[in-house]
Amino acid sequence: MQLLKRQRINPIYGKKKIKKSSIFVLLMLLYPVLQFLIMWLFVNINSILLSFKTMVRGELQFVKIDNLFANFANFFDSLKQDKVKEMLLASSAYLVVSCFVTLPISLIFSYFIFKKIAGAGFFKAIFYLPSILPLVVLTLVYKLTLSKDGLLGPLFNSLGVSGLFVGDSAKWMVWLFCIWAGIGYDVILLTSGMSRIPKEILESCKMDGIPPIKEFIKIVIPLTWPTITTLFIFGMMSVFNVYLQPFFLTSGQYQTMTIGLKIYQESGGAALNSPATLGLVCSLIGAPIICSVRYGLNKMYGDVSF
Amino acid sequence: MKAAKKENSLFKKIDRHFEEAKYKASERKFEKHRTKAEKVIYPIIFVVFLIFALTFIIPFAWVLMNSFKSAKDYSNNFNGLPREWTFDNFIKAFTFKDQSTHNFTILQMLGMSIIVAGGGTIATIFFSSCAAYVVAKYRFPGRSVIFGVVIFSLIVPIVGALPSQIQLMKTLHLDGKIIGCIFIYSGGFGMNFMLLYSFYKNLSWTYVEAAKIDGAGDFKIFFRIIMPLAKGPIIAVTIMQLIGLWNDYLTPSMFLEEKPTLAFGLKALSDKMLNTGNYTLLFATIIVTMLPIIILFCCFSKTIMENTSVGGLKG
Repeated sequence: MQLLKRQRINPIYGKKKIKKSSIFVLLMLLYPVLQFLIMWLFVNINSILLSFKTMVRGELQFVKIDNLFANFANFFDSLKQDKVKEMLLASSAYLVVSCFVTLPISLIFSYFIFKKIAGAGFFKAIFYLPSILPLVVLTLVYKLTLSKDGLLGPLFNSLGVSGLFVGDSAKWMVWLFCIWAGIGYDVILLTSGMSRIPKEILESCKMDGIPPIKEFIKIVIPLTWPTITTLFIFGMMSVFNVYLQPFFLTSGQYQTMTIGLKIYQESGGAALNSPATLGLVCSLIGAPIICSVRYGLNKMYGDVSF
Repeated sequence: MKAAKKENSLFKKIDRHFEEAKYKASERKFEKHRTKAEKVIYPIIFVVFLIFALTFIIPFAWVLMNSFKSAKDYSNNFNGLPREWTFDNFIKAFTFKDQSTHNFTILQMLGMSIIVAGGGTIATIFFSSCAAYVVAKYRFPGRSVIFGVVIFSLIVPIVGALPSQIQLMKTLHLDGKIIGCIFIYSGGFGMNFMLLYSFYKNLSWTYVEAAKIDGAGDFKIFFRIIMPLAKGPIIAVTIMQLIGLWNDYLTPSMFLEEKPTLAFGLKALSDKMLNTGNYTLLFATIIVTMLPIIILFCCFSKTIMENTSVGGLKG
């Protein structure tokens, strides 16, 4: 703190003042830094340590040195099990759902909202509503609407469809929910990104008679690229993060178990080494991939700066 | 002479006003002018939007409508209007108790949500604001390290820190306590830090320099000058944070199981009501749970939608 100086140098500042400012900086940062050290640094270090522990007589103890990677070996052994394969497949499906279904639909929706289609403001607000409602409420309403005693019950009964949330259709219902509820959030972010496009560019497009599809592909997408990149990364992270949707809709049954839900459910038990190992393996595999994709996407239209 | 001059300037003003109005009208006309392709595509998209919007409106309207029905009325007519409108379900929803929520009523859960989400929001916004201001405006050793670590923690996805967090909370004896939940929420280096940091970074230093000449100290400057100047962004991030914490299921379900908040308790209540076939009570409970968020959204819809814009951040 001895070197502490104002960013804007003030001539009236003496040593006494600088000392006072040091105390100010220290006090302002004390709690946030401590909280960060405990809740981020310590938690993540402990998470790594947990993956080198095992349950011995109901207690977590470090594994012996000759069997240091026992938890990892157990995890890679478990990959042969059908249930684990299903879980990895179900989790990977959210990459497709988020990045290749929800995001493109949201992009198209956002473009027309940005172009001020009739009722754009109303649609924007309605689409955004699911993003602010508790997920429990959303899943309940969704499930009640599509259940046999619900709003569309008579329709499904007449078609001979029963129990959409059981069996093979269950995973489709969870994916459909993710798309239905996820579009609004993406639309808000994308329209806000599009609103930063200079008006003059769009006006000149219009005067040149460029068709909407060309304008969308050649102008709007490149100029909204930073937002698209962010949403694509969020979508990639959903492979590991999605857990409440399958938990509320199917309790993780019928091939809807995900990595996130597995970690959540196993964290309720005593053997915390198992979910910690799963999390660590996923971080080690996922983080470099996600960071590389982010780097690559940012490079694509690197000169967009608004 | 003076009167003539006044009249002249008034005419000039009126002329300018008309010119501006004309320009705006032509601009609007230009914006509204649709090409042939647009004239075909726009109505189709409008219909698609309408259908999509109805998939949100109709289910919630159906839940609202059925919450006014008696159980018998619902079983005989679950898609029609109530034959007899009743508020009984809402009265029951407020007093309904079950062991699955440790006999907490909706009102008690609402209270818990206010304390936990409110406390967490106040704590995280305050500490984020303190940290963001100091990192943005002061130079001190370790400043770039702090900033770098924060960026790293936001960019690198870390999966499965929950087991470790549970162990830590048990060790600190914060498990099952409200203060424990608030401690988890109270981080000063999350997304709020980034948003407030960019605001403080662009904030003019002139007021502060003037205050310093008058002899104001750093704390006085921060609380009396900077905080009021940052009122707008602080309110925006507060609302967004409050909604996020209000809807949070994970933290209360793991660390506050015996004192459920609304988002967590509703799951247990809905399971119970679905098992006993008490649908109308469930509908009323859903409406009651949604109400605080809907009211907040109606009051601050513009602020909420304008500030959900982290998308522009480039890594």
